[in-house]
Amino acid sequence: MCIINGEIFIKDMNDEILKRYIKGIASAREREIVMNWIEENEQNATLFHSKKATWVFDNFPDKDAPSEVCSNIRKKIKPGLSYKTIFMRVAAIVVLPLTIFAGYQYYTYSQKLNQIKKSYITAKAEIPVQNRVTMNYEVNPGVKGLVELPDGSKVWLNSHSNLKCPDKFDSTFRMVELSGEGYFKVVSNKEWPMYVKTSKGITVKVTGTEFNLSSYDNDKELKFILVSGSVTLIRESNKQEIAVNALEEIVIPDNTRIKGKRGQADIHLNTSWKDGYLIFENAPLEEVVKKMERWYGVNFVAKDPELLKYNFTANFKSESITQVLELLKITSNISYSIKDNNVTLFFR
Amino acid sequence: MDKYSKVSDKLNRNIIEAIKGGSEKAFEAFLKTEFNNVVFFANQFLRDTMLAKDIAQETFIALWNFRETLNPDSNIRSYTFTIARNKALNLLREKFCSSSDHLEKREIQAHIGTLSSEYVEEKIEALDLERLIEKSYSALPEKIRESFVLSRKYGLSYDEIARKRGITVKAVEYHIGLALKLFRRRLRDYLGIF
Repeated sequence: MCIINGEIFIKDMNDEILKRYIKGIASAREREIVMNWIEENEQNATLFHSKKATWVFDNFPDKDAPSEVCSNIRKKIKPGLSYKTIFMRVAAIVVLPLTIFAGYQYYTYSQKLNQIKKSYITAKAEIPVQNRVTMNYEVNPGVKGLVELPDGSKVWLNSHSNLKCPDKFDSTFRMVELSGEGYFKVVSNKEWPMYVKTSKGITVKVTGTEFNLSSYDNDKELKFILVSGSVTLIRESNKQEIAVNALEEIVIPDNTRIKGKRGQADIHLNTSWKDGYLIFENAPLEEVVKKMERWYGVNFVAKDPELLKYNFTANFKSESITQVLELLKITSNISYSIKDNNVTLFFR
Repeated sequence: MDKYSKVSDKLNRNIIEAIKGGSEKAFEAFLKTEFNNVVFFANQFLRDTMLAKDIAQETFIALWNFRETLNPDSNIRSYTFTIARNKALNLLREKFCSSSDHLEKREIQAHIGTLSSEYVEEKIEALDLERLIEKSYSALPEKIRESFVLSRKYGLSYDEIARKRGITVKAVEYHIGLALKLFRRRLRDYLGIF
């Protein structure tokens, strides 16, 4: 008998949990339950090994590999590259130009900002009001963009994002507004703070740093990753300030009753999208699907909500959506069908 | 039953001898049918699709590079999956050392346990070219396939099949003869080595 991490020991393993674990759709808690059970005694471990082995060998995809697989291996087996393969390699390195849809929408900011109700709590932070012509940079799903702000700061915009900034910054502050995800490289000036406003009631105040801010309207939370320097997050409702240090990750749920999270940031995982990488590390399909909808501009439907719990680890550079889905298909027991822009996922 | 196992064994031997002899065509035909299975297998333990793909690639490269040492009496699928299993085990051991996540470490331990268990060993040993053949006979006409599957897969005698399906033994014989002929032809096209 053993109790690990205070987890209650379960003598008779729940068959459903075990099945879910083997299929790769168990929650973190269920994974721990299964581990506790396996480590309990040799019999349990043996039962697990036998069940897992049976499932794995019964669920082979038995699907022919695409011809690229053969040619890739052929290249590795045969020394010396042909001109064709050299050309293909060069072509793969060429970075696709980033497309950006910049709409010039002229309207003033003041109206919107005035709607923010001033709190009765003594204000610690003041978010200034801006009255200027606004540029609206819109990036559609399926594309990414790079915006240079009037002060020389750079913002990489992820798919399906929108950035508003004035044609010229105020002399005392720099104000922009982000919806979606952006990687900011802010030109340093201690006397000239930059404010990044989001629709989630959180404003980022910086004087010069690099950070990644993800605040999609259809996400249930805001995620902030600080690469260098230090910044302050301001909750607009009560002017509460949250100080963030370099290499920290802050997650603030929309629902104010849920506590936010603060932890060590995985910079590569969270920022490599700007270099064109689509990375998933043990990410539940629910999250993968959302990212892919933005990345490829498609819609997903899951026939069985259970499959959204499947954890996926993979990274992609220039793969098509079909290549990504094929990989999912051959590495799990989840299959798909595509019609127009709609992808349906189901257990095979 | 006998007819089938002879075909399967013969096929296995032919593929091994062809690969051993340096036939890229045979190697690629085998690679094409088996590659995704190896990726799936590796991913079930590594839980990392990229690493799983790498393992599958390395497995087939090793299979080709060491083709001359292939034993014609060995099972090509078992041989391939043994390479993949050992590569997966090596990677898991590396991952175990580098991982800092407590739960992940325990899971890696469990995966190492499964992969080195007799159960995986048995499953690997039991692999044969049946699936390859099944795939070819899925193209058979329904009536013929049914007789064939009952005979081959479920080991029923021609008499039993005839009774079960309400047809004559002669018809069963005819179906199975035709099926064998059809899929031999398909396999010949497929592998180009008969």
